[in-house]
Amino acid sequence: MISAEQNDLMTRVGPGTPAGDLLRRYWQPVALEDELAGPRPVRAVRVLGQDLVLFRDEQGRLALIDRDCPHRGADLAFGRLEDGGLRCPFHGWLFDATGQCIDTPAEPEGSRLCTRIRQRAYPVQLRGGIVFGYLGEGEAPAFPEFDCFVAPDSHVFAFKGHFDCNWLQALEVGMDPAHASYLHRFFQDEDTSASYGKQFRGPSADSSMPITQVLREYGRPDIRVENTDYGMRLTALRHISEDLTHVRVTNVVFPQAFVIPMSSEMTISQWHVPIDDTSCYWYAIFTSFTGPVDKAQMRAQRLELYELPDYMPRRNRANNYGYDVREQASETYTGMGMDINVHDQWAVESQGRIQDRTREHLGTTDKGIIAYRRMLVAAIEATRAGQGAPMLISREQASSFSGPPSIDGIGRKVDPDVYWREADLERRRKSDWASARLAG
Amino acid sequence: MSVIHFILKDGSTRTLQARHGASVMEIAVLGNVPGIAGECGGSCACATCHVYVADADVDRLAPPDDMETDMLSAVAAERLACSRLACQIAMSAELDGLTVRVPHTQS
Ligand code: FES
Ligand code: FES
Ligand SMILES: [Fe+2]
Repeated sequence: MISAEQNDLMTRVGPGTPAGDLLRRYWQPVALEDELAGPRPVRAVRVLGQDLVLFRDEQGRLALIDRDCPHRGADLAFGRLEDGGLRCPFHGWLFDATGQCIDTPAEPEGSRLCTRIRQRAYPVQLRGGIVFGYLGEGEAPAFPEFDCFVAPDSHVFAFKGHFDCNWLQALEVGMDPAHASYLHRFFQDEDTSASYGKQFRGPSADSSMPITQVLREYGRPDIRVENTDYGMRLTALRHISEDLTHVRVTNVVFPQAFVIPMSSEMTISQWHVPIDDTSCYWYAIFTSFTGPVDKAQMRAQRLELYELPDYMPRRNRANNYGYDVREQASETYTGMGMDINVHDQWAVESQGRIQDRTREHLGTTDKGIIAYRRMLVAAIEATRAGQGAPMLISREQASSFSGPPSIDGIGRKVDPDVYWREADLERRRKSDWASARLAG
Repeated sequence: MSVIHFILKDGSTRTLQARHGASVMEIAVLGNVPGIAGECGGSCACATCHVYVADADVDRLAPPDDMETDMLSAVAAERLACSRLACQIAMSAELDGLTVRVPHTQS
């Protein structure tokens, strides 16, 4: 339980807010690369309460600039992509990828007005199928050499989806290892060989036991939280028998991402990016340690649930998430279908647009959330006091990061920490691209 | 309405209005008293609302029940005879002017 002021401090991220200033010090996903496919690579994007326009110019340069034309405020998202930039349809002013105005065609011949006009532009980088933008002051940090950023393009797939709620509650579900035993419970186990591309449907590594069964039958995990140089690591242990322990290792990458295992071959790196204070997008990079990702299948699976162009979930508040009484009685814990993203979406959206944390009662399973909030508030206070934000990575430090290890498997007669370290190493050894990095 | 005095880590005193029926923890958390966390929301399950009750006030409180006594053994700061969990103290007219001290560590 926290006070209303504290809740506002942590959740509000518009320009000039303390948490907004903090989040702006880190790279933020702003769009999928896929969103720029097609004949006109221009997208309006809203991030942290700011309206921006993302485009790729004729030379292939990516640009992210404020959306309101600096002339008289018309919407540049409807601009004409031509002549080396984006041209406002109102009076034809033209902006290049740096935001510089390079043409004001209605002004008298020889006018130099445009040399004095610059639209604010933000640094952008394309990583793992996601366009990241840097909306903060000063220099942007480097990208740590995490798996999702260094795996070859063939081995990563990115997707996103809309949540109709504040970013923090969406993120907090990723620090709550206990919920998987309830919210994502399936009363029957599926044939695990049909599990490609789905979370919690495959076999747990090093066993033939479906993850669904482990989660269902062992609902009181031991949870450990450790701080790391990128955020925190959560280890959830489910003791199956004297010899067997299910070990699930997930990570929080400060401030807004987590890295979790999806299956024995893939991990998910997922950001929760505020659109504004009451809605957010999740952006995920799926990273394969075995063969190339079947991007077409992964995308088709997900487009069954999300509607383009804005990646809005087909199951949502308006249709009760497809809630079905019969299904809840016999098949799933929620009655909201087989896709766990829908379950998570319901959970976090049902907490309200911005969860009222003055009314919550945290239990022992929430220790990850408690630790994270402490870290977040300390970072907000430090940034506010001018001491700088934590865990900003310099170019020299980038290569000291790897992983982070994200494992879901069953260890036999072995210390869980030894188990996950070895399972992670083993997975890397067997992987083309990851083993090459081990050698180096 | 009554008042509660909180003696903070820096030695200063913060006085808050206290609605009758609310717990000392709720009043502290909602009033942003630093050092009282109340993570479990008053379910007597986290021990992050530990306070030291002023000597003069100890006898004004009903003694802790079993659950509180158990939980007091899990407090982060030193446990003293005057240690209580703030979430288990319900404010009433009889407790007007209660003084509690916030421990140095609370997690
Ligand atoms: S049981 Fe956890 S939110 Fe209801
Ligand atoms: S608030 Fe958790 S024990 Fe008092
Ligand atoms: Fe979940």
